[in-house]
Amino acid sequence: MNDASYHPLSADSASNVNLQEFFLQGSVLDGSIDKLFGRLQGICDNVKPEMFTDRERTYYLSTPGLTTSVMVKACKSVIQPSAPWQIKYIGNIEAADHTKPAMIRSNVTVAVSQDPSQFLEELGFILRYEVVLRGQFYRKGNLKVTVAKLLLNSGIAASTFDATKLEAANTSHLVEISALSLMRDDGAAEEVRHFAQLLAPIAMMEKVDHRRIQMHQ
Amino acid sequence: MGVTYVSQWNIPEGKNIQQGVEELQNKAEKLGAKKSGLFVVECESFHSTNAQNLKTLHTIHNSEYPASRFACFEDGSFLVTDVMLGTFLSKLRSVWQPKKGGKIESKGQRYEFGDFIIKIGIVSMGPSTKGIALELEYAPCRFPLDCWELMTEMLHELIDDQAPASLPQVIAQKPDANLAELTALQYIRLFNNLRKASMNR
Repeated sequence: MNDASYHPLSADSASNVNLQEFFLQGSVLDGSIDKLFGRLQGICDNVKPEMFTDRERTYYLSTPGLTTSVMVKACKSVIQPSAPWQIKYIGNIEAADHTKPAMIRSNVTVAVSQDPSQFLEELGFILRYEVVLRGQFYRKGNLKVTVAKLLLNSGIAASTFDATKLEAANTSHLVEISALSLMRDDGAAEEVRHFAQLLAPIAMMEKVDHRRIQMHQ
Repeated sequence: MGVTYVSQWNIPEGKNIQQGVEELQNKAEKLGAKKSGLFVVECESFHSTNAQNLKTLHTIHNSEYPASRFACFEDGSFLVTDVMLGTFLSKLRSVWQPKKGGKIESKGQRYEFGDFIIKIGIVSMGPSTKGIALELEYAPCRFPLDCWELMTEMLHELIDDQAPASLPQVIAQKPDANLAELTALQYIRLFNNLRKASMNR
């Protein structure tokens, strides 16, 4: 990533800042995507949006004695081969807090030197699925807005990745607005919600009850 | 970043750890090595709460590589990560817990002597000291097999009777591995030996 100052490494001291993520998700049909890009170009920071194509593998680790699993994603950029693999711990969404303007979860990202699949499997994680997200990344101050298309590796095992054989999973783009902040600092939530209102009615960004999605799995 | 040799240095009879360290430091200074700061190598170990998974995970923090952390499974995979590894592992606390006995570290003076870097550290687990660790690094070379003879000569100068007779097993098994990995593996083996020795007493 050349325009945004992207630091895959977290410098030489583990900072406990930026562990809490406020986010809202929505979607927009492919037909209306240009309207969304136009609006984002207008309200976001004045830099060219960054194109990204990331392979994202989702692993789950079931904890004995608890019903919820631990989710970790391993991401690698396809168009920037020099950017390292990243493993992201994605916490569970803090439940049922109707007063908060955005959804909250914890997020820890670690850059690693090589494909972490074997390492994650030795930790006990099991690969659930792999997708490719291709889209654009916009910024506005602290906020990060991604508009991405979900692509799947058509019909072939996860070990053979062929960038030419990707097909779209559906006819829409996934839009996500997120902001990282200190634990227990809720200021960013309001910023996320305010930004989301600017995208209406092209993309309706709402709090989604992820438990309902998980029940369908 | 060069080829390293890490080993425990046995303290001569009748001396305590502090005197042993001073003896080694004097030898290094007599050769002409100059002090160049302190170093620390810390190791924290984790084990799984899941009874079927018996592997131990070691994480190493080496001050020579301040922006990295190393994660190594015993007899398993090795990964180099950035500093957020500790925070990431703490999120997995329900499945991977730090081992009792906690952190073990080697801390001490770092010397530079031409192309060699000599580190003399006191190994301790919490408040109790376990022994002395010596690390010799030959910075210009990246291939252990090519510079082993030179390192042996240097080791004879420094610690004569305790110099190794042959290439350590860790290096002999994977001579082409990443140098940071070989250093981390040697430290893990050293710390494990010291842990076992102190448990047997």
